[in-house]
Amino acid sequence: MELRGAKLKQQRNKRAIETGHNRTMVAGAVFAVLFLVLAGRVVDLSMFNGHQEPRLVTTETATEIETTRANIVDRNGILLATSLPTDSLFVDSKAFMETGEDATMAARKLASILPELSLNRAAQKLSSGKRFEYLVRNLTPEQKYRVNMLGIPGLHFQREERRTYPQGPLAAHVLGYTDVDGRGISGVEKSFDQQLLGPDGTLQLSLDVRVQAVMRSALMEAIDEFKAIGGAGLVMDIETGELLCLVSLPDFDPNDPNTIKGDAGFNRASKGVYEMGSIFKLLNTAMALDSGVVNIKDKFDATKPLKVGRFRINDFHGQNRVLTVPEVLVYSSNIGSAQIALEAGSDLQRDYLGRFGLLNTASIEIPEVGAPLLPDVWRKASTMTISYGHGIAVSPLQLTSAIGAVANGGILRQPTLLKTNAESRLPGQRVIREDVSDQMRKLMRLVVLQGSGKKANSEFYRVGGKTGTADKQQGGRYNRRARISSFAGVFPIENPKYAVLAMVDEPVGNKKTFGYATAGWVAAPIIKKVVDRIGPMLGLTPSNVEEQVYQPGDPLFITVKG
Amino acid sequence: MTRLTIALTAFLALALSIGVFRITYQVDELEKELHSLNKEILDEQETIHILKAEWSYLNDPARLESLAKRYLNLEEMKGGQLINLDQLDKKLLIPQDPNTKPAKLEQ
Repeated sequence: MELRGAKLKQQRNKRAIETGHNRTMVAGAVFAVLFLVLAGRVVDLSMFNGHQEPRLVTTETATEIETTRANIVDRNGILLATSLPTDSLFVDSKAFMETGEDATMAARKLASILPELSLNRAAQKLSSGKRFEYLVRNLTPEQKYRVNMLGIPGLHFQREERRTYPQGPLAAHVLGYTDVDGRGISGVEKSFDQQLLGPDGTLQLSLDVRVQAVMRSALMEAIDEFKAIGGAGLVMDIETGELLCLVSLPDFDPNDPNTIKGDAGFNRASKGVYEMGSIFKLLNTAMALDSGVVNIKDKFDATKPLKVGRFRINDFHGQNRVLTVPEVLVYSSNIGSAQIALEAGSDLQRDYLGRFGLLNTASIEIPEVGAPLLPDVWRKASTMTISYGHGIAVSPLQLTSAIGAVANGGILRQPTLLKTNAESRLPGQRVIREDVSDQMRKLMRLVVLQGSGKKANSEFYRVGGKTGTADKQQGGRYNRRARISSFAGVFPIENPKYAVLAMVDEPVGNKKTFGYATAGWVAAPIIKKVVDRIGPMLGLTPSNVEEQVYQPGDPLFITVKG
Repeated sequence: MTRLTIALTAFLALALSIGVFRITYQVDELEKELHSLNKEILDEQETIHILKAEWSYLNDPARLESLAKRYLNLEEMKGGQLINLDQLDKKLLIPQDPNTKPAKLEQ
């Protein structure tokens, strides 16, 4: 019995142990599987990046602050337009009133910091009971600090962004401006609105603020001196078409929309079209020489006025003799130019003006572009007057690139406001032959040395160009009192790099100029000032090659009267 | 043997959980630090942005010109002060008379 009982007990024990063993095995297996899963997950996470687990390093880093509108910089990276965070002050009137403060006192304190705040309205807003009401928008950081120091309850700031132009009015007509919501309204702000709103949309212009400032101040001085109503100035790189400056005066401060009124918002350099006067004689001569209708040795009789219908074409600097082609240009003879144009004929003239880009609207990256005014019917009289820049109105911008083409070897470059590089540059179009361009450079130099452009002669950088004085048309008639005085030229003439143009609108002669308000007195000195100053800035070495003096017998010799 | 295993397991579990907690808190701490540093960076960048605008404003050529005229004894640079390297010997060996101007063409 004893034995059987022991055996039974043993068997029971054995079974129990087996059961325990089995259970442990099962549990162990389950845990092993679970641990395997965990291990697999760990490997997955650490080595294969897991599922879309965010990586802390990238989620938290902040590389750039967010501005809604990108910067605009000049060709050297100087900031021209940027968006700055500002704070607007608003009041939670409910919270303010709950504290039981005196609204009039609080308003008085605020008004001492914020002059634009009116006492009554501020007190009204403070006690209106509304949860949100603007008090003043766009505070300066100092104002914000002082308002905070007042410790008035219920006042809060709202972050906003404001377009700022650190250089003020300097490049106003190029940049344009934006409305309160930061949308471009004019200038490159408008034409590049999309790019500026996109990521990494920084816009680099071809402008050079230094050149822009020099041209602007020179023009301003001239406008002051001659009591003119406005002016325009351009400097263009004639190898690339990049505009180093584009000035139109009067201008405005894009930071302050109140200054954009009437004439100040009008871009004379690209939108205004004017009869530019004798500068066209350069194009006329270039056309005649390039097409071969006139030879440099040809002579034209300028002894008596030309009659066309009821018009009479007269010379301003009358020589009353027979003039050679260079003399027609140097003495700015309307009679001679008209005769040259007649030799060429209307079709050829129109063809060449078209090639110089003067018959179409200029292509430039701002919306303010003016279309040229052309004669409805290209009559013989039109051909004659257009030869000396009357009866056709073009923008100073167009004329600058045309003069550039005359001097740079005969290639017309499209003017651009964006900094270009060799790849993005558009190929130019040939307008005149290279040898004609060479000859034109010599003629342009002669005008400055011996003609009406003497005052444009820089001591260090040789300038070549042509003056242009034209009476303005008012109501279909020419007004002898209101004129446009301009000078267009290139420098340095031995290897021209830049085309410059200065235009002054309605100058009035003064004592210093003996009452003259012609381009030689008004516009030419601007060019000298500008060239003298921007030459060293642009790293040009002064002209040092001996200048050629033409002897009698040379076709380029200019006979002086008397 | 069993006891030792149990003791070891218990110890490991304890040590690991303490470790995990410590690391969790450390990570939290670091995250906070990262966050505040990022905020600081943003603030600094904003300051830099504003300062750049101010720098540009202060460098307005017209303003610099008037300041230079008032406080510096300097003149505008003239073309004559620039020379080519190949002109160096000529210009430097022959001192220029400041009274003579470059020869003008006779009319």
